Amino acid sequence: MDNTILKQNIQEKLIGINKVSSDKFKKSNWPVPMEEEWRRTNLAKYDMSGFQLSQQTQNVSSSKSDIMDNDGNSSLIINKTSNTKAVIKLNESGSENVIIFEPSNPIMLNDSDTVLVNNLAEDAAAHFDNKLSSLALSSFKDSVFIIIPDNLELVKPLVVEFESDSGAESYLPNLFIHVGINTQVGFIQKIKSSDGSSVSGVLNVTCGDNSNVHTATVTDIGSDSLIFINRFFNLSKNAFLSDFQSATGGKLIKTRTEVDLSGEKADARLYGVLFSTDHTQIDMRTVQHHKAKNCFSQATIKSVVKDKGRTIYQGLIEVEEEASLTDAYLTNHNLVLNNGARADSIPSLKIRNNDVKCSHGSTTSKINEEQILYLTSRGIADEEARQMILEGFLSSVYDLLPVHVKSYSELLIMDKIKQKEEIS
Amino acid sequence: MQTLTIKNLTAEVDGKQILNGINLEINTGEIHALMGPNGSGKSTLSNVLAGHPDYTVTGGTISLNGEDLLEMSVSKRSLAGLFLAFQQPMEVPGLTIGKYLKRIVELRLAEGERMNVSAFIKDLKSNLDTVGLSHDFINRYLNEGFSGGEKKRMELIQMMMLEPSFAILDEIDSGLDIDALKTVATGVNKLKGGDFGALIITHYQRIMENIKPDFVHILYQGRIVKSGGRDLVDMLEAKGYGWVREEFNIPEEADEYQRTIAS
Ligand SMILES: Nc1ncnc2c1ncn2[C@@H]1O[C@H](COP(=O)(O)OP(=O)(O)OP(=O)(O)O)[C@@H](O)[C@H]1O
Ligand SMILES: [Mg+2]
Repeated sequence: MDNTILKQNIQEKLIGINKVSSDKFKKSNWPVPMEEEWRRTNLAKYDMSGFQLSQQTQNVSSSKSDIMDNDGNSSLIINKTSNTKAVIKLNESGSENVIIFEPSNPIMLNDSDTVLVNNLAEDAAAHFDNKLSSLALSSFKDSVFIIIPDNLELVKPLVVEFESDSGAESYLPNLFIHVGINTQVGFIQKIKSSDGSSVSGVLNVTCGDNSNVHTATVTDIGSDSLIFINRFFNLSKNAFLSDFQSATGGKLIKTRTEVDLSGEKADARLYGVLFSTDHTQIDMRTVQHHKAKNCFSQATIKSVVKDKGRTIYQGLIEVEEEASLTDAYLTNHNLVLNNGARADSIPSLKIRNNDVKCSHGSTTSKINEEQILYLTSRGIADEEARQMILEGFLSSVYDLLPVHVKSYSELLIMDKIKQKEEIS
Repeated sequence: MQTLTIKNLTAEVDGKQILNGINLEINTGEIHALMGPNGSGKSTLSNVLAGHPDYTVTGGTISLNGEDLLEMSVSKRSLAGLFLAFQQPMEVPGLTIGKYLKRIVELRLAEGERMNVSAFIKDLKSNLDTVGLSHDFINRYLNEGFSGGEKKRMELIQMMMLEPSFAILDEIDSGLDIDALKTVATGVNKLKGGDFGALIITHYQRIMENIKPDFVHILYQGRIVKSGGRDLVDMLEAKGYGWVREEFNIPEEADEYQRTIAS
């Protein structure tokens, strides 16, 4: 164990990381279209003035907000509204063993947990590399650290709700999770923000040996908002990850999800649902990075575009030389609802080992009018028929998700789709 | 008694006239069979009845119990009691049969009436049994990956669940094995009676052995050129459609012309 960390207060260590990140933020420029990942999302076209370093000190008010989700379908609910202490609600026994650390309202940690919290923050700072992630790491006032002790099995998911209450400052909903060995656990990260907000967050998850982890990030952001999420997962030996993200709303959503398969026989499944309407641009990148032998990974992304909506999906499978016997797949299906909407797929492979099975495929289709005729000829109204086809298109992803993730995010995105239908 | 009346119906697709003046009246309680060579316009007629947007009615009328069917939207025609079994049913990925059937049954409930879900499931299971599909189909996606015969059976299930006043069955018997043919007949005969009328479009006499049609019509080049009883079927089996052309003095060239359109 690193004694220098223990001698220092963890708070000071974290503030140190914030300082380094602030400096990086100040010195760096916004990503430009010259960089492959940013080719189709030109930040010069957006008003980035909301993305600023916080002027505020780390003073914390202790006001509490009410927990919205009281249904008991989660093992633990953490409601983190900016600048307030998180409200925590336990719904499953065993979840009291989960360590939750908020830098804005710190608790005493034992030595080993101190190291874990420090490592999660340091790893993130070392891994994420652009101006937006530097901003996210410049302050931990909205951050939550979670440590799942070894051998803990929770049936219900942990729900972490991030909610910004003002659009004035940039909102930095960071989540750091350490998952111990031989565990079973699920997380749902909800990010809510008001209209016109500027959001940049990171998610850093380390999955220990033999862990079985389900994660979901669901964004529900106000109109005219810009949101950037950088997500990183590291999987040790035999770890299983099922990750889901849904993106809808706002003006721009840009997410990057990287999975490092670092231990043998790790298994990662990435699912995503994008729904873009009006003038929303959603740009999602996934990276399946195979670093160890005998790993499996699969990304399945579906996007629906409507009105002038646009989605971009960039999927990369990268296989290192030592990662023989890799099995990696990537599929992307797009449904374009009208002329003027657009969905782009950019899959790519970087393979440095010959003994692998890798493939990628993408399709883009329109709603087939013969399908509409079929459904309407059975009495279903035209609009509802379109809705059913769209839901059906997405449900082949939803049907692969664990029930709790499915029910929550499906409701959310279907609600959004329905709202849009009613408005238009 | 309800009545579906087609008068002097002409229709075109892609600017080509396909139906050249169809006259046909179907009452509930009657089973009609419609036969005719490939390309004669049988599916066109059923598509026009369903309200397919690619088909333009250029003349004539269709009325359902005196109401103008052509004025109704596709879904309204269905809710008014018309059912079309498609020659090629569409696949709808991701939409489970259970959810879909529940919805289309629900759409027919009277205002304020609540759906009896357990009765619905019981009905559905018994109908699946009737057509010989396993109960697993309830959770499958609508027509996705179904064999040709399974799709046809699915059309029948829908007809049995919806209990329409009039069913137009476009080649429900093609691609079916002999057992399946019998189940089609069972399905139709289950509904047969005072509240149900059907137009069965077919190329085969076999289906007539089980569903005994009251009337048989022969469609040729977009016209019903002959109507009669079941004996017409035997004539066709024995003599083919050449006989129709000769009997009605339809010139060879016209036939060729139709074939050119068809290809
Ligand atoms: N969408 C379309 N576009 C162009 N031509 C069409 C279209 N639909 C039908 N036709 C043409 O109309 C004619 C009648 O076709 P229809 O499908 O009604 O024949 P049918 O009697 O049902 O034949 P079959 O016994 O082969 O099913 C054919 O020549 C066909 O090519
Ligand atoms: Mg036909």
